[in-house]
Amino acid sequence: MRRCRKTQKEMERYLDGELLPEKVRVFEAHLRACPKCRKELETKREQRRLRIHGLIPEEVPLTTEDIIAAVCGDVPARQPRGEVIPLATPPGWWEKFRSFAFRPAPAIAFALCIVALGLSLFLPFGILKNGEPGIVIENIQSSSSVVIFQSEHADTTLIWIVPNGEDQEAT
Amino acid sequence: MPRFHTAKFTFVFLGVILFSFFMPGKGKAASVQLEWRIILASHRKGTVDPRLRDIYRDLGAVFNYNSYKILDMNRVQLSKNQSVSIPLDRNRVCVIKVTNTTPKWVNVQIQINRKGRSVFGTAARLRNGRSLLIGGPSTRNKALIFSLRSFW
Repeated sequence: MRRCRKTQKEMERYLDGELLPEKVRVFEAHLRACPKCRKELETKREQRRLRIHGLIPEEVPLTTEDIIAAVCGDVPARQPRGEVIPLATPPGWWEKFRSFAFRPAPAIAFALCIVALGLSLFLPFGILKNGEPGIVIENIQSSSSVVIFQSEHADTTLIWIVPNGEDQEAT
Repeated sequence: MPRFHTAKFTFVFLGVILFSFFMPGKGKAASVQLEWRIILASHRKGTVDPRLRDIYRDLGAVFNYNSYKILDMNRVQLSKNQSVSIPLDRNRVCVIKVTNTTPKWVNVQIQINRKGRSVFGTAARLRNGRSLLIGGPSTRNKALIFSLRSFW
């Protein structure tokens, strides 16, 4: 059912010769298996032929009966009824995106973009290159002596204030 | 039927990549969250506070204290040039000021004052999640350790 919907959406492009070769193969394979879509395609092809010959006005939405009548030389003098719906609806942005993004090269490019975005968001948060410190002490001013310890992976830095008489009294 | 321009969209995707890599600051490090802990280290037989598991191994490598207890712990959100005062004990106050933030680093200035007089000061650059500890001096087999971590 899903394939039928897709095939029907692609019919106009197929008739215009705008469908990509790999899609044409899938399209025609489906037509061989699906009589309903085959009939639909024949109808559309016939509509085009009649329009080209001017037998049916461009703006009239066609039914199968119209085509039969036109082919039999009995073209009804119809006026457009109600809202005129264009036969070839311009594709929406989602259709455009799907037809683009599901081709191999754009799909890979799109996936790479997602990965790059993810990395750019999370990289600054934790992964350190070898030798890059986690903490840098820029200066120290102290009335006592200090000793600095740094862990093996530079995740933690400890500044230890060495006691002298004055500080011992304070603590 | 309008054609779908592959080249145009490829350029848009490339633009997104470049933007995400080179956008300055990404707005992430505009303000940072600083977590501070005041730790009492002692030789008392006791347990190590489970909230210290990130630094316990490093403390154990330097000291021979048996017990590490958190006396006070809190988190504050600071922007550039904002500061916070944290009382360490009856006499000492620690003042932390964020002096700069970048996507990778946060620069802080730490000042310890006793009775209004500065006894210790340092300026340090911290990466996200790394701990800076300031401790000592030890008295009566006990020591106060001040731990500072930044998150953004």
